[in-house]
Amino acid sequence: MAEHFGLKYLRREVLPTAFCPGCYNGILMNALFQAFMELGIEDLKRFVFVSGIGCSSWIPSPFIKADSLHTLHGRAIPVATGVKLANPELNVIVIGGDGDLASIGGNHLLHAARRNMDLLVIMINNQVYGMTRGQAAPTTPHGMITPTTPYGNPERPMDVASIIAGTNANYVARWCISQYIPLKNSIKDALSRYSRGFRFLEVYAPCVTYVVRREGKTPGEKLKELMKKCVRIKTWREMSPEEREKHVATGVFKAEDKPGFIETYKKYIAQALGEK
Amino acid sequence: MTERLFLSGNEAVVYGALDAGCRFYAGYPITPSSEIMHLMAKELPRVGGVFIQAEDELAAINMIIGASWAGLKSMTATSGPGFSLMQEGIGYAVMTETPLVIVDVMRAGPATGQATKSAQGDLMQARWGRHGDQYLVVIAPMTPQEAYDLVIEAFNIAEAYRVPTVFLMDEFIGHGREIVVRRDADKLVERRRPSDHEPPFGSKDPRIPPPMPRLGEGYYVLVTGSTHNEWGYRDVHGFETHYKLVTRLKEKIWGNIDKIFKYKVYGDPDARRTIVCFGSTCRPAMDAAKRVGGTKVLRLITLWPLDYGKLAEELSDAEKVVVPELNLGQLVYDVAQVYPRNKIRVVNKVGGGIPIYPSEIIKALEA
Amino acid sequence: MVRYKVFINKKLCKGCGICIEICPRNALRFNGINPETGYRNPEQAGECIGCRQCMWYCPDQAIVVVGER
Repeated sequence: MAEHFGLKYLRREVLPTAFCPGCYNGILMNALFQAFMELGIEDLKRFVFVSGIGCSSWIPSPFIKADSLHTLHGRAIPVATGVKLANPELNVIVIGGDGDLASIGGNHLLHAARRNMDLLVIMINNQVYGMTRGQAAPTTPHGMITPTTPYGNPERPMDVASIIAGTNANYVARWCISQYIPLKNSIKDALSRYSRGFRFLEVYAPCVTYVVRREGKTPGEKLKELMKKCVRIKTWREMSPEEREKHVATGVFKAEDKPGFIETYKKYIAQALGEK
Repeated sequence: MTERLFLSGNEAVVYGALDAGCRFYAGYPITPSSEIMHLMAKELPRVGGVFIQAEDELAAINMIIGASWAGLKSMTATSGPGFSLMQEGIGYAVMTETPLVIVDVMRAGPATGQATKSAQGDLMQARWGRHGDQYLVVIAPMTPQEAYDLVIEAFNIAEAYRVPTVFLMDEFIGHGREIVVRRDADKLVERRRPSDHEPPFGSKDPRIPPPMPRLGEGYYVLVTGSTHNEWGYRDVHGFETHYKLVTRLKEKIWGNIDKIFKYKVYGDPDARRTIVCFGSTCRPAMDAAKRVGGTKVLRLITLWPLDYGKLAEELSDAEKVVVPELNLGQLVYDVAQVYPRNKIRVVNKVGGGIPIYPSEIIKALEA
Repeated sequence: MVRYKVFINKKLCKGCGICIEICPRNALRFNGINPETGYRNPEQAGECIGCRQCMWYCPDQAIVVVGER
């Protein structure tokens, strides 16, 4: 009996997922699995997934059938760093949300990018703290009403992909969850053409429960809206400030294949200790 | 192979860790522990290990957790302020049963305190610093030689019981320099690997630590800090899963107290006065006992778990107990659990890097 | 000549409706409530062209498009 291509990478015994109906986490999972499929990755034995706390951190733990470390809030990146340094043969992927990776974990994100640490980090930006019921996050749009900003968010959101693009990281991209094919292709690139150094992928995917539903839309309606709202970086840069507020710049901000931290560290040691 | 070296406690910790098989270190500079990190940065690559300086202590503790799951014996070193930052990570290591060694070279606190001045104020924190029901092992050396020998023991305990082990070292010992004999270890313990169908987070007998899978070998292990069942599946609703888990984690340590708890008694076993101490205060205590006579010294090597029954037995016929500590009173509470408080005399002193003098202990003995 | 059939895995489907809204041919519609899960499930109600967008965008991997000659 034919079944969905993603199911072979999932732990069947814990499905259906705990995610809300329509949660865009599941779409990122599909893009991830299709990338694996197209790269000829049959099983995830040589992969390790590390995640923190939040809805998107549940993607690998317990749903993906692979070794996974479900860690503390904000600390997925240092744990992943420890895993990768201890065994560089492993393919280490961090999956987490904007609150986990850019707020409490922001410092670790910055330094892993600075080090060009050999990790793939996928940050699902749902614009709020979803797991804890929709509080404002550093990515919440200006003026949005949330439980902690009942009079409107006085802060402005951070553009995480742009900030990371300004570091020494190798590969930085942002795609809307509606841009399935380029998203899937970015994941493929981050695992093949740009497989070393720090690869950061921001996925713009507003929380269907605490953002989309509050706007009076269904998950499907929002997806179709995002298909128009998300434009290429070049297009966005040519827009007026008012237009920019209403659109999201998506695309590959940066793509380089420099040696990552591990290669550089090993080279220095070899030079100093006189080995080959 | 034996080597006679002239080492500080900090340096001795490094050589002990390397000889115990430690191959990963992540740390953050903090007085008075930074020398541990410097020496690790130099020595680890020579033995094929990996060193990284983290961006803060939160990163350091989490990096060594990742490295431990990837299969390496891992360590970090810090002092009070950094130790405070690491508490959440240490709690995660207790919950996920991750073998680690965390060295705390104690300074006068709280907060920034006096970075270069020795103290013993982190004892309670080493035991209780994490939220929730968690139990780990705390070991305290007395000399640089013990810093070498006991850190090997700390790694053995961490591996045998899948528990983070806190190595509590006074700054006096960390920076003091003495002859240290470096030799082949009698026994090195490696974490037990699972056979087929052995759960990684449960066992029929709670005193038997479960086996630990290694990442990347197709075990597909589910490691989580949430309450979980014996196979690592999260259960944040059930009473049984949680109660069973936390009682097993406690029993894993306290049920093995006969193997873990170590202490030494010095002097005349029939002496009617006892000094109870740990770490750097034990040498002035032994000096005081020798000078004044009729006194023995009970030195705690393992500070947690603590065998109160044995302690009670050792103090059962004491007429007086003196507890000297480089803090305002923490160890005294352990003694007061098994011995009448009105017969305990304390010597509390901390600050300025001034040790407790034998004369001060003698004064308490004769008070 | 390939004909496409759409199958819904009712154990996994949560009735979010994304597939229905995303289908470029409106080939899917809701068909009552599944008594076992309490969710509405879609069914094929029109010609499927095999674009497979429903498979990409189904968050629960609950839909599969099969082509037969």
